[in-house]
Amino acid sequence: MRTAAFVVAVGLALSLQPATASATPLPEVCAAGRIPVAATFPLEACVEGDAVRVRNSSDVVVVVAGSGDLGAPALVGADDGPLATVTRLAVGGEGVLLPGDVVRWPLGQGTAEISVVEGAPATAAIAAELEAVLPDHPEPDALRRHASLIGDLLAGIEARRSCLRGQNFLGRAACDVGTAAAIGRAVTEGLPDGVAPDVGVRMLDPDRWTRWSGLSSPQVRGSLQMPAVAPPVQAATVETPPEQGGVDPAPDPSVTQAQPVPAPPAAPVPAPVPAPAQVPPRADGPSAGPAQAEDGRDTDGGKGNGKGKGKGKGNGNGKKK
Amino acid sequence: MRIRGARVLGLLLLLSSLTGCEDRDGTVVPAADGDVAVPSYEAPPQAPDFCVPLAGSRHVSTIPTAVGTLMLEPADEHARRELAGAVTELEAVLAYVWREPGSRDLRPGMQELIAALYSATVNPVDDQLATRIGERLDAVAEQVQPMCEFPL
Repeated sequence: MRTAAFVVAVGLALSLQPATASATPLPEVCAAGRIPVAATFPLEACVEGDAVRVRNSSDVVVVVAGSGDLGAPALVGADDGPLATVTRLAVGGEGVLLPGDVVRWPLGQGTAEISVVEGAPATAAIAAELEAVLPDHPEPDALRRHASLIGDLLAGIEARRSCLRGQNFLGRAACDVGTAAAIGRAVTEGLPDGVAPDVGVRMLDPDRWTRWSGLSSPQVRGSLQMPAVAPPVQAATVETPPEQGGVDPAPDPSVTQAQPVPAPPAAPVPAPVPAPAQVPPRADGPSAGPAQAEDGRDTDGGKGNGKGKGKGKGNGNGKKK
Repeated sequence: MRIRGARVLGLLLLLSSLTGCEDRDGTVVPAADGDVAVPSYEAPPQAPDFCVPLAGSRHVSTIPTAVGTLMLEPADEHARRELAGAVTELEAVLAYVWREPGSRDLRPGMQELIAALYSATVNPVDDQLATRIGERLDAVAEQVQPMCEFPL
């Protein structure tokens, strides 16, 4: 039984395509006894005593990053089929969540933050396109080659996007020749001879490049802040965090707060993330609500090893100026 | 009458060979109006004559896919025919360029582009040749833009 009051405050949570993100709690993540976080976080998330679970309830691949007093993240019952594995490898890092994936972070006592730092819909789209040529039971090396090929294709498409700016139709054709050559190279080097031409020709479609390029922008972003655990036996008051960035941090009537808590260390994320709302004050007294009395964070949770990570994209395939 | 009919048929075949594409079976497929490089292009008042036929190109936009295809499938005849069509179109544009003294500086760039594309119709297409085609296209794109003011 945990008696410490726990405060969950949702920071600024933005979704550029709200239709793709759902904050509706699902039973397998937000079971009885867990505290669902406010609906403004773009993914479904729950605190379950000594851990926080985040489920990718959107329909795109996202990358989440934790910082602050969090333990090592672990995927819970995730799909480990070839397509899912290749997609995770192609996006890179531990925080890759496919639609439906659930990740669990042990919580420490200090402040922590979980951010959805990036969407990777283009990677997922290309991976799905290449699924037909994945062997049924691929060796790990084959999966890695496939993932690397996806990275090369993405790099070529990213380079094309910047190449096309300000070009007339001849210049655009020049950019596309560069992209086609990059794809030809990547496919020839990355796939066995028997399948390379078929796959490559399927990839040589400028309209498809444009579509994938449009998918490259992150679509689901937001952050979830968790302040330090409050001491177990003290009075608590409710204080609504100040509004910031035009987004209400969804005040929770069960949240108890009294004193300000220093802001958590910023996560080293690769892309700008909407600034989270201010961390709500620390709860320094007994819980004002029943949920907090039962679901405070574990005092022996994971230690501060939050990891910020991202994906750098090299794209040396552009047209030379 | 029979001779006139044959001439008309011959002219139609010639036109279709210039404006259409052959599919993989060798059947001539007329290109749709929307297939031209710059639909409803209006040349600026002082633009040289070659701008309009260049804007009406139907094969320039197919060059990238054809080049990539030939890198992967050297025997792909459809891709070679696409490039051959681009060569034919650009040669017609070059004929305009030759007639216009003010466009003299464009001649070498156009000739080099045509030569690179022609090379791709008769030789294996490797990375080097693909890069050359891209660079020549880019050079011509920059040269013609101040004269033709194509939409960007």
